[in-house]
Amino acid sequence: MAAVSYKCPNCGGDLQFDPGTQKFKCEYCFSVFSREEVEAANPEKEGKDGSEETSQYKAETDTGSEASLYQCPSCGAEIVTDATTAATFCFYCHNPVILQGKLSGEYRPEKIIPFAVSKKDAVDEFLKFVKKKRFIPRDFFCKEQIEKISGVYFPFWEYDCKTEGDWQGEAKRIRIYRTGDMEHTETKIYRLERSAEVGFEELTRNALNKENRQLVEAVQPFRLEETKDFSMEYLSGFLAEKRDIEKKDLVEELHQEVKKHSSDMVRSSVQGYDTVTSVSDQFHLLGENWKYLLVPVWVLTYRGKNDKIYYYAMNGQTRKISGELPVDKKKVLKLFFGVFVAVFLFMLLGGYLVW
Amino acid sequence: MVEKKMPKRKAAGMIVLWITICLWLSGVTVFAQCQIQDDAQLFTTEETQKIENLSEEIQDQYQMNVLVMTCEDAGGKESHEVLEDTYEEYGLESNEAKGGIALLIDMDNRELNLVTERDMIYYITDYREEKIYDAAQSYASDGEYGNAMIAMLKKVQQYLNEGIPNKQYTYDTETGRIVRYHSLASGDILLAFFAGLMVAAIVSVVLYRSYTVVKKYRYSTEKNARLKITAQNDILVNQFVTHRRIEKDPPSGGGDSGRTSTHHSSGGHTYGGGKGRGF
Repeated sequence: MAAVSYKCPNCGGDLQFDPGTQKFKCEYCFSVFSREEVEAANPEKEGKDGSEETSQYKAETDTGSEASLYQCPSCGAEIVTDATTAATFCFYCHNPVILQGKLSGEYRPEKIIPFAVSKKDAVDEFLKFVKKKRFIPRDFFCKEQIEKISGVYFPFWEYDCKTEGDWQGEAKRIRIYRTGDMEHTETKIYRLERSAEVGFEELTRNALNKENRQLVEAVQPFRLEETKDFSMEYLSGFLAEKRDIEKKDLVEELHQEVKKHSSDMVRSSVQGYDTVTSVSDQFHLLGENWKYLLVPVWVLTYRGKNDKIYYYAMNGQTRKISGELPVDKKKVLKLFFGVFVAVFLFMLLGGYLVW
Repeated sequence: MVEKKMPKRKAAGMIVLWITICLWLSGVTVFAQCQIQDDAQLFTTEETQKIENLSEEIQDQYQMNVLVMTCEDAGGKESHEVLEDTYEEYGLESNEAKGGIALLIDMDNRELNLVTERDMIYYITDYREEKIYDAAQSYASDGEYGNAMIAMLKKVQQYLNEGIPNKQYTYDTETGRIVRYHSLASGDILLAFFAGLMVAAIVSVVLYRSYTVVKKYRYSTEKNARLKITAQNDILVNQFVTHRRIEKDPPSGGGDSGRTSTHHSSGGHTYGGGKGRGF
């Protein structure tokens, strides 16, 4: 397996993907290149099956503790990564390094959503987000820490499928009418039978089992219609992770989910009754399609002034943010008393004036 | 220096406060008045003493005027006119009291009557007026006029203790104008208190959770799934009709509606009561 970096055709400096222009930029001579131009200038870097190794390769050590050893193609320093890291930066020269073999062969993603939010925009967006939150302790967030935000491509599974089946339910239609001083309630009970086909698209599952999994899942949805065919160059300048959750680990859960969605959708489609309840359903899969893709997420690990570690994630495409925020309990207490007094006075005034 | 001056200032403040309280207390005692005018000489000495005691209790406790009257000859006036004229002759309608009540046993018209004035109008609603007559009527019919008056005064005292009824309003019989008496019952205050606590707690918990709980992403079937119904069948399997007799609104319990009807005396002052009850 090799560690590679993409070089500028003009000066040989390292290229990084620029989310703003969706092109590749040289950090040294500021030249900008399209993906095709980068590919043409670095023909040997786009290994399809992981068998192609470059001269930068030195060693890989699989220690059993899932740590791997690479050599930086720029400065020759050794880079130690965990088993799922697919793109990183050299700790010494800070140049982007792509661990090509991690995303080749069966682990090569079919699609990728390139970063659309630059680091500067991500920092600004995050600062804007925390400024809007009035109940966090004052000066809890400092810009210096927020600037340590990292852009990471996370592995996801996209699942499309079609189900077919039958659904049975019971419905009631109730009519109330009066004659004289009598009230009559007419209840009609129906047995409902439906056959249906349901198509599902863009069901997604996180394919990486890491601590911040919940946060990364919470920044969904991604605009999957904007996915592009995977190319290694997009990883340049970002971190990337390789999947460690396989289809077989998810298939049962997804099958159950689509069957439940199918039943619920058929039940919701029933109109013209006062009450509808499901009695039974049998749905089976007609076909399914899996895609392995990388999605862009800005992640931030933040040590609060209370020494607690907070994790944040921002969708690198839509800017949606997730994460736990610290709460200033004194401010919440003030809000509590403010609302209490306002409602209490309002009700007293209402009770006094309105009768 | 400052330490020496402070006690003097405090002492001066205390004296001013004490004088104010004394003046206020002394004022209270002279604000309201009691008058007993037994023209028809219906009360025994003992009854008169009891009536005096009750009247003074009302006067002292509520700063309300009390005029107790009996008359042999109404001089061609209606009972309530006799009361209003006498009340105004004593100048009770314009003294510093909060209000007052005048009660009459009219031997000329064979009638019990009462009129209320200022704040007393709020306490003695039409319903309560009738209850006061109810309490006295049997005594009056039996010729126990002293006991009749004592019964009326006790009832007045009871209603003053109970306070202004909920949803009290004043209805001017001459102009049709309604004036509502706005007040808050202890139940209203308790309800407002708990509602305030509840809303404040909900708002705080929702806010706290919005900061500390990460919302899970939910797949949207509306956006990402397509449903095609290929066959459908709705079969009527059962049908039944249930019947219920519609209950008519229960008759009103005849409780206190809170209304006090008012009228104006020949002197132009506003009075409640005055309906009277024959005996």
